[in-house]
Amino acid sequence: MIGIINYGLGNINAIKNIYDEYNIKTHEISSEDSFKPEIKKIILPGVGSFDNAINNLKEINLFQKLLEFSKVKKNYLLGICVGMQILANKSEEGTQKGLGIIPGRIVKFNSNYVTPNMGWHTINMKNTNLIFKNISNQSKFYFLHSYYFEPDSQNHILSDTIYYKKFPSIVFNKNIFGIQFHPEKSHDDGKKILLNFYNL
Amino acid sequence: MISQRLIVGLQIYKSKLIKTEQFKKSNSTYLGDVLNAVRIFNEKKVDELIIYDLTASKTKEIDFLLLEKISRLSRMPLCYGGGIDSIGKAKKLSSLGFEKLSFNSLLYDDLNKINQISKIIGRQSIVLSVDYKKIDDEYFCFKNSGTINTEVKIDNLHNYNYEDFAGEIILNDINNDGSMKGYNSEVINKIYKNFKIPLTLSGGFKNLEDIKKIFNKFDIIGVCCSSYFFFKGTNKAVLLNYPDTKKIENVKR
Repeated sequence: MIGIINYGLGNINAIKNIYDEYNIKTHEISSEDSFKPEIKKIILPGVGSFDNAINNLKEINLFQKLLEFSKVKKNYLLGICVGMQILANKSEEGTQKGLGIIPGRIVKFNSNYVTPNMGWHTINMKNTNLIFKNISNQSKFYFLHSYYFEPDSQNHILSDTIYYKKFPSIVFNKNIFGIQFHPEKSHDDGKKILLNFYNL
Repeated sequence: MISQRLIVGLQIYKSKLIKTEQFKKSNSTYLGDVLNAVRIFNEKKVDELIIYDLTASKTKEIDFLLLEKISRLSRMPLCYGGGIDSIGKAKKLSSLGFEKLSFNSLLYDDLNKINQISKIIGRQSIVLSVDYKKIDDEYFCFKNSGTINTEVKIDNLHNYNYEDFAGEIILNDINNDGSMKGYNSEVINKIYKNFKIPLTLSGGFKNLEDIKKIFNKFDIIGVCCSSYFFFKGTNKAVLLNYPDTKKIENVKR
């Protein structure tokens, strides 16, 4: 079973639809009480701003809960888009502290660039990982964002992508993954990422 | 930097798929079932799908049931426009799986409302759909499905600082809508350089050569077609189609 955090932001249904297609059960987590002990994999989606996301998580008491969840080695957490960005320590977009479980900060694209970065771009894999199973290097995924993840260490980058400049498109820290693009909106290769996460 | 999208635009009227000409429903062609079209374009792995509900645009009643079904079939980026006038509606659409929401009349009637929605769902999800028409020698922006002239000149559009709260502007050429006469690039040639957000063009595209001209000229651009993906041959037989990946790669840079 896959847990999907519902904190009032993000296209949870788009993610749920894909798991439904493969008869994989999903469970919406929208409060502390709806956390189930048998759930070992959680997806943290998100749209909107960094601070708004953090505030909403805290409001339903899931901020602390997610920190505890991610400390257990056998648990897996996957943040998508803004859900990825709040895995960092902080962001140029706001003043709130992030979850800080992948060391790094969120920075804004240079103001001379056309933003948001909107469209399909290839990812360049920097490492082998089960999340990439059956996906070829340089596959294209759909991006929609104006901020990106800058990890403290290059070792936390699983893939990078170019939009004017190189930026990390997937970051990770052991059992925690952060994906900047939208796998739920990236046709077959996107589906594979979500299935690979389920199969970790 | 090059970033180019080839988008399919669908128009819904009374829960059915149609294609208008010059925005007029009286000139429209009935194309059949919406969900069937969504299924086909999803299988063809289109870059993006834009859905305009012309009925909701007037009644402000959004057909969430139909949109939920559309979302269930879609593994592609989705944009929806028609009757979004509150934060509640915007949040619901976003949770259903529409990551971009398009606004037209509200842009002239209640910009503050768009601003509020932008603060909640993020500016990357706000699309401004600008319908324009040439009157004498000037291009003016129209609202209410192309029926009311707002008197806003398209040359002045960039003065509104849309970058602060929107992530994309779609430029719809009303006179060329559904014409398949070939894209008239007079407006985009003039205003492209004024914007720091992605622009998308729609209205009159006739074939891949026509689309290629735009992709050759502009680095970061979207092209949205309807008729070209709906009709085949000179007698305009309905056949939903989308070029395969190889053909598209030849057209894009």
